[in-house]
Amino acid sequence: MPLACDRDADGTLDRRAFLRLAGYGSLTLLGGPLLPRRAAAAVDPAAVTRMEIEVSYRTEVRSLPSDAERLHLWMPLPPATPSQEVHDLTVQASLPHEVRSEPLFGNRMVYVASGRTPSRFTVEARYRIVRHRATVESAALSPAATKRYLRLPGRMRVTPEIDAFARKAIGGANEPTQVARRVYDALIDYLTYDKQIAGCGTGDTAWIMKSRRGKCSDYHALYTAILRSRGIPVRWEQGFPLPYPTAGVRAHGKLAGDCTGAHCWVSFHDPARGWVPVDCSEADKHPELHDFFFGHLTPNRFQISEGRSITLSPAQGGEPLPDFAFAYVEADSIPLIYPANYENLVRFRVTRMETA
Amino acid sequence: MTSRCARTLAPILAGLLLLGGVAEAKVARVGEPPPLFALKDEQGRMHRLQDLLGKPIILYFTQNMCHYCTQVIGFLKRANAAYGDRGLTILTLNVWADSPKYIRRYREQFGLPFTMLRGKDRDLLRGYEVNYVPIIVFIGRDGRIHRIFDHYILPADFEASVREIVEGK
Repeated sequence: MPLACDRDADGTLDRRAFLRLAGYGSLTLLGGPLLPRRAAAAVDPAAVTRMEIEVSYRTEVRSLPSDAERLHLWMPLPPATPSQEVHDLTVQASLPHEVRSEPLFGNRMVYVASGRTPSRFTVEARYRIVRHRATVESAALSPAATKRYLRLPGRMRVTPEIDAFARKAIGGANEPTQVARRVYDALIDYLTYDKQIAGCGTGDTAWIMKSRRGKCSDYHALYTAILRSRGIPVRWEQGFPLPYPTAGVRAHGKLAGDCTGAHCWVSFHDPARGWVPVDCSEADKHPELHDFFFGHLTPNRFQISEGRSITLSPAQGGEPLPDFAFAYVEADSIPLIYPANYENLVRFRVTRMETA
Repeated sequence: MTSRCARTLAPILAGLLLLGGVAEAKVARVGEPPPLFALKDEQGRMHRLQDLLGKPIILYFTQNMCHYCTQVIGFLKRANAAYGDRGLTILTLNVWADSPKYIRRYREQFGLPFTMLRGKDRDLLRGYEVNYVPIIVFIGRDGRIHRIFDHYILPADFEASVREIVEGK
């Protein structure tokens, strides 16, 4: 079963069907198969300790507005973390490029700046990811980092309704891990994973609380808002979903490259333990892994960036990005339109899997 | 005749909605009048929803990076061609746009034959409960919301919704 924020596999209308019905062109970049080439014996996802994944992340700019003077492209590069190794990184681009980092979260990115010619060009990053089963990461937080991880960005806010929900869920708990677990349980009970939701969310916590449904970014926006409002630092981790291990080591596929198609999860910080990983939406989709996803992450994913409300390097002309999973392109400080002006394509191949 | 009637009735209907016992909705709900707004287009011209009530109206919320949204533009163009002369009014709202340049680029890219407004407005987003885009709102000649789609919309559903607000079917 694929791990995805918005992927359907059981007969409901998926985006491929939607586009076909809408009569629009190429489908090759959308909803590609996350299915195995061949059936494999069932593997307990919680028992998988390590996966190796080959990734090709490609962005093609194929047209520019007629009056565009200068083009800027930022493509995220995966971070190395205690649960993720990045190897054999290469970047190919038909224009001069550089690798930069933004100062707030340390996100790495390929940056390309160009005049209006050529109007078509491609940037491709290739790398090999070794993803480990994530567990508690021992780390202390500086005061500056604590402040950063307590900030409520964008439309992530705590309304009176959210506060009342949090108070009821937390009860008399005081310890960060205890508070986080109670909110985790209550939130999963309260929200329904809704794969019918199309398009791009903004992490509007008031909307999420009211609608009681959402996808990964909704679960984790609300979870983050509640924990941060209780003084618990939370780290937003943005990445991509891969097939569950039952798909076998030869699983391969491609992911839609606009604001959908990605996955996210978080870690909260308990001074007594360190960073504790949590995946609320996957826990809701997989009740058998409810306990596992509080404190662990399956390795069928890889991280591409950290944080929300992101200012790139150099800073983009438009608003801070809600998240940074996909390449972002501007002409003269105006975001280009996806997919009319450019397209992203993330291809992956799982080459190795190890179990405990 | 229909459009002339609509023009005549629009301000009356709007007045009735505002003053005559049907209060302006704070949040968009089917069967109720829509939350009103006044927003600028890329030329700086102000567009008031209130001035359009009495016509069949489609409100379309989108932004520049939304793939799904751009697909729906095709539906809207076809509806505009088929029903524009029967009063159908389409307002697109770019929820990222706080300046004219966003809209100019979008209009150019898609050759939009209808209005796009600067939709980065807190009250608008709250009134229509915009978290995800696209959102499509169908408003009938009676000045009330007939349908709201906040996820996929099939061609058949789109066509039925347009006919409902244009023809009352």
